[in-house]
Amino acid sequence: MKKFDLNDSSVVVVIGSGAGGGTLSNELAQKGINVVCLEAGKHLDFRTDFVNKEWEMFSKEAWLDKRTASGEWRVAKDFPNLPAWICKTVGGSTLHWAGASLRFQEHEFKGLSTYGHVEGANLLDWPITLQDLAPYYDKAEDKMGVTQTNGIPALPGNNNYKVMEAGAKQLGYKEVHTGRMAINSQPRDGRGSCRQLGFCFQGCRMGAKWSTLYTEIPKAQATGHFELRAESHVLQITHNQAGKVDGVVYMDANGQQQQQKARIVCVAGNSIESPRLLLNSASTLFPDGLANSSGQVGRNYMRHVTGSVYGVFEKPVNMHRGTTMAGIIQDESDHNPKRGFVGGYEMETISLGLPFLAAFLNPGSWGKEFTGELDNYENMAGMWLVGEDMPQETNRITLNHEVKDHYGLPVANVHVTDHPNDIAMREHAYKQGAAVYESIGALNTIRVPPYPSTHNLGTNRMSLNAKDGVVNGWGQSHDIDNLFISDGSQFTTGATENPTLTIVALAIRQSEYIAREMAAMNI
Amino acid sequence: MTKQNLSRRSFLKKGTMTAAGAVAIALSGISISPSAWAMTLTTLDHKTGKSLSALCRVLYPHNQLTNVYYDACVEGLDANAKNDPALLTLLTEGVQTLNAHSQNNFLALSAEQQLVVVKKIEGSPFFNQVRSHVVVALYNNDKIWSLFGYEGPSFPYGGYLERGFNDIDWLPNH
Repeated sequence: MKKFDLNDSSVVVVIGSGAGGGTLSNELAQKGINVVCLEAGKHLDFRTDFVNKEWEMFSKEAWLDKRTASGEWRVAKDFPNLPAWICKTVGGSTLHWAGASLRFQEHEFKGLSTYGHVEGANLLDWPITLQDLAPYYDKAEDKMGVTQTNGIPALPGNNNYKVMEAGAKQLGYKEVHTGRMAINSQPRDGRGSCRQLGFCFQGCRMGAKWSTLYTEIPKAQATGHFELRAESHVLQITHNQAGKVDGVVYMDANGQQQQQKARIVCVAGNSIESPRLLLNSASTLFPDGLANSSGQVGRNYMRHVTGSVYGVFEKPVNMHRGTTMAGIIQDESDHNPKRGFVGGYEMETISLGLPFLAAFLNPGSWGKEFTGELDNYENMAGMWLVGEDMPQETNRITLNHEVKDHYGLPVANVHVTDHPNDIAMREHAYKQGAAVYESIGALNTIRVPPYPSTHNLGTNRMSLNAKDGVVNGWGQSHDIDNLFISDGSQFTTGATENPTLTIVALAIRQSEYIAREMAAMNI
Repeated sequence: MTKQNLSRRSFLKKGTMTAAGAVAIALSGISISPSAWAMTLTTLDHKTGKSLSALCRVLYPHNQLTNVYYDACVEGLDANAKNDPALLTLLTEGVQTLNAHSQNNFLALSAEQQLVVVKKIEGSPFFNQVRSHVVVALYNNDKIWSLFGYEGPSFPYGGYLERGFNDIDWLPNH
């Protein structure tokens, strides 16, 4: 494996190895650019470390370093130290993602223009359009092997999907299918196909679901232009007197503090850790944190309007059999303000095993009524509701100076209060989700509150003007031209769709820009 | 943070926290009992253990589950209390409080009477500690899964592709 010297100031340092960082690393390495990827988490092997057990895998893959939560969202009460459920592993949250790979709609890049001024929201148009991103969506779908693209067959529908599909059709919904999934429906790219294990959230034991862990990372390693350093937690990004970033300080796997020099630094630590790192890197020259002349670093945190509906039937469903996100209803995904809110939402099947359902069905609940619902486990079907939430300046990541991590640095506080638009959308989605199941005879439907956030977006957003955001249309910092943001935190708005495909498309596009600018000696 | 105080700071990577310990902290003090055999206690006395087991059943009552599964939850609490005097005190005093509301014998009450007593302590640190432990420990016990129709790990059996992933036969239009 290639090794780079700590004092090699010609390398690009990528922080994080998930959908953004893992993809960007590989794309740069394929172009012959030398990359050092620093990943805070461990390097698991899907063949030996992945097990079909929810809590055991949670303890292996989840980011469990302390965080705090505040605001009116229920997660702050039920899971005060677990505001988000994202991964701390090589491959990042591509370990536990479900695989849904949907393109954003054209109008979703123009949030402010389409929705107009929404009181209390900090809407903005993206500085790029669907046309700009379309060629990279093509590349991302091919790279990830997305079903129903590139001639790849759809996955077969499981029981949970069949229940949702039957209800959707009964209700008159038209756009119902097994999804565009980055899960192999047939062998592809050296990986096998899905055997309907379930346990997509626990890391795919088949390797059938795309994860940078066993795609982008080994491909990058094979170029000889890439070094992965796992269990390397970046503490600070450093800069020179001219205000250009020049390296990172990190704690290595042996607990030794190291400094890696760099020509360019790309931050892809997910939308909580990425702004935290910029804020923790404050200096005399940048007293409010790096890339923060706008004051927008950490603000506009989005997590999608989410919720779940479970339907209880007279006869068995066995929702746990087969892929977790086995299909989708897209009829509510457009922007139709007649419903009483702007933006749209998707309904996607979800299933939890008994251990997770007990923890998340109604957090904090106990007693006969609650256990009576769990007694119906076998007869339950489930769906997740995911829609566009409003960016708000006050929903934000800040440093909590009262609480320090293992390294003595302030932890991230995640503050969320739903916007009225979010509440209206969730209520509509709950009703429609219940109607889907009731239309085919559900005995009962259960509204489940949002889980700790899995989609974390927007805290270093793209903007045309430097005063409105943190990065430009390439993910390049407005303030520091050799500092990039390469994860979902660059999203200007959240859109309706699951974010991973867009994170990957942006990373591919960003890699071309970085290569071009390096060749031109602009950075 | 300046470079200077970063380099001065003595960073120690704390390697002592186990993964399970980290889960427990993240989810407010829950942990996972590895087994479901008859209650074996090392720290709590037997009557306290049995009282806690009764509390566990009041919290998450299932007719299909015998006491052994609730006992197993208490074993987990007992193991956690071994090196945690504060937890031991919380549990011991918590049971004393239950008894104080039960003419000194929580165990002797009917299930309905126990529920009335438990409602009196709802939201107390003792209640929260036990509840958050049991909701994970009970339902993570693989020995109860089949009683709920949950089939657990599927990889060892080749997944569900040939084992009923799409075998539903009662939907309309079939």
